[in-house]
Amino acid sequence: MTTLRSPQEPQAAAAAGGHGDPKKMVRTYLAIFGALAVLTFLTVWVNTLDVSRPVAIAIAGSIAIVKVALIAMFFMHLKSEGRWIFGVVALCLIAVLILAVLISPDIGGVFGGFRH
Amino acid sequence: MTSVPWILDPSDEPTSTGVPHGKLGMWVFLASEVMLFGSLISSYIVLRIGSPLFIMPSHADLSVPVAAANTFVLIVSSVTMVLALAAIQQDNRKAMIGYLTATILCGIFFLCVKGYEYPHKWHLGITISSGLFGSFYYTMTGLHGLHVLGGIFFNSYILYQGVRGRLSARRCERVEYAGIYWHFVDLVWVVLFPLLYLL
Repeated sequence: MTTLRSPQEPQAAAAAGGHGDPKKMVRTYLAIFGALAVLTFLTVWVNTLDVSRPVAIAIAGSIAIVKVALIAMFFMHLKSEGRWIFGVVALCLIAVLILAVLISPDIGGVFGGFRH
Repeated sequence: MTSVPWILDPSDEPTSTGVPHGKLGMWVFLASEVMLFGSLISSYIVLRIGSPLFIMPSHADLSVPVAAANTFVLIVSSVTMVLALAAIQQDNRKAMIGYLTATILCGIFFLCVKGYEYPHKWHLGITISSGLFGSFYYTMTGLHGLHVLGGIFFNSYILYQGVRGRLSARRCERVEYAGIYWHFVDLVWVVLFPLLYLL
């Protein structure tokens, strides 16, 4: 049987998820799943400990950031994307950063002891 | 066996960016979604820290174990989604249908648990008009729930395509796009869960 190849096949293959050998990727997906499950358990467990509120926020925030990064990098395949997708994500992160900077005086003001 | 010549599909058309339009469009859409949830989350943080009227219910009232179990269900759905993609990339349509069905069922289960949680909270006096927490809780989880519902419809459409034999290793980009959306829904919940239930 002969197979005709289209001239656009490399791009179509990329469109069809050219993120490495799917068989090998399955092991990665399962490892990430294990990590996410452990981190979820950890988030709930840390919350039952008698720690100060800032520490609890720091731990829960850090775990959430790690989980978000794992999902985006491996499940959404951001790790193997090109500059265009990274550009879109970077723009969005910059916008979020601007939002965070804009609300920081309110948060800082509360921690600093004054309220509007 | 006769050879089947390739048929030019819209996804085969070369693009100036080198990225298929569908994928780029999905990422741009998700970037706008980040801003939507980002603005709600930042408003929540500012009012939570700054407003004396923000009264947080107890962990018992929030049913943390139920929400934690629901978080786990959503993580399971994410891994079944990505396994569905890996299956179709290996031309294993049967496995893809199985994994995709599991993903849809997990999504339905998640919404059913929310359907249990909401009346439970209403019974405890936590309503959308009972205070700042209630307003944020129902707005953010409700909006997220709508996204889960949208994802269930999207995945069901992909499943239908799979059952009809329209997906293969060379024609699996739609599974990937549906997956990107579904993982985003999971990603948002990963942030909402500690924010609304634990901290």
